[in-house]
Amino acid sequence: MTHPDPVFARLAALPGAEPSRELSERLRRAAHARLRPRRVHPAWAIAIALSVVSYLTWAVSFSGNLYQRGETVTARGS
Amino acid sequence: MARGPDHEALALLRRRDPRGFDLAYAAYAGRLRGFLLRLSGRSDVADDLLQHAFLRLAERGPELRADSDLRAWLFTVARNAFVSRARAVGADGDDGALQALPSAATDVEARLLLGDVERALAALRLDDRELLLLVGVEGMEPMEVAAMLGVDAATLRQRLARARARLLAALERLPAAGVRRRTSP
Repeated sequence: MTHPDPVFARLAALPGAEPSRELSERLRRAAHARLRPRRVHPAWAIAIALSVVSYLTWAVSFSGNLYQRGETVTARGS
Repeated sequence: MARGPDHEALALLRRRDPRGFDLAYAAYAGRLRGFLLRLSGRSDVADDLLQHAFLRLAERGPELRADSDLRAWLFTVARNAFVSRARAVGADGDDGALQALPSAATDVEARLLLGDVERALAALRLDDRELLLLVGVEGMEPMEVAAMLGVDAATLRQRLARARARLLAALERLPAAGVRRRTSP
């Protein structure tokens, strides 16, 4: 489509400037790496599982201790 | 409002599909680099800013709205990076000095681009050149450019008319400059 304004018509005819193939390839690789969802390293998965298990173990033993102490106090009171 | 190629590229980018990036790159890399090369006059700066804009697209693409205008988004990111760079490198934060920066056209590729319109453009102040590149060369709507530059539509129309007049004056001065160059020893 030609522009009605001759100045703008000349500007519109100016070409783009394609980047070099090397730059495009490098940029493409870097961008694809950023888009790929990051996989969690197996060591992190194991560490998270272990911390959950140890917290649950602690929570069960702590509440067990509380229950036992409560029973002792009740027995002394009666 | 997303155009045809933007719509598909955005849909893919939102699913983190690298083909979305490739589509956007194929559609806009040449135009964006041309804009940056004419704005800065240096191909190394144009390449750096092109990388900056497209890597930002890879990072932020998945969060962009499906109806975003990719071209405007990319040009805005690249233009803001250019302004920050120019402030940091050349003009010490002085806006007046920044706006008055002519394009240096220091490297071979930038000089090869220089036809008469390109030469006249390169001689303009940065703000005039930027406006003519966005509206005249890239064919962006004045409203779109006004939003990008943070000015209202009436101001943009005035600035555009002044920039056009200065480009025309620069074009008219060119043949005389060419004669002077040829006759000089």
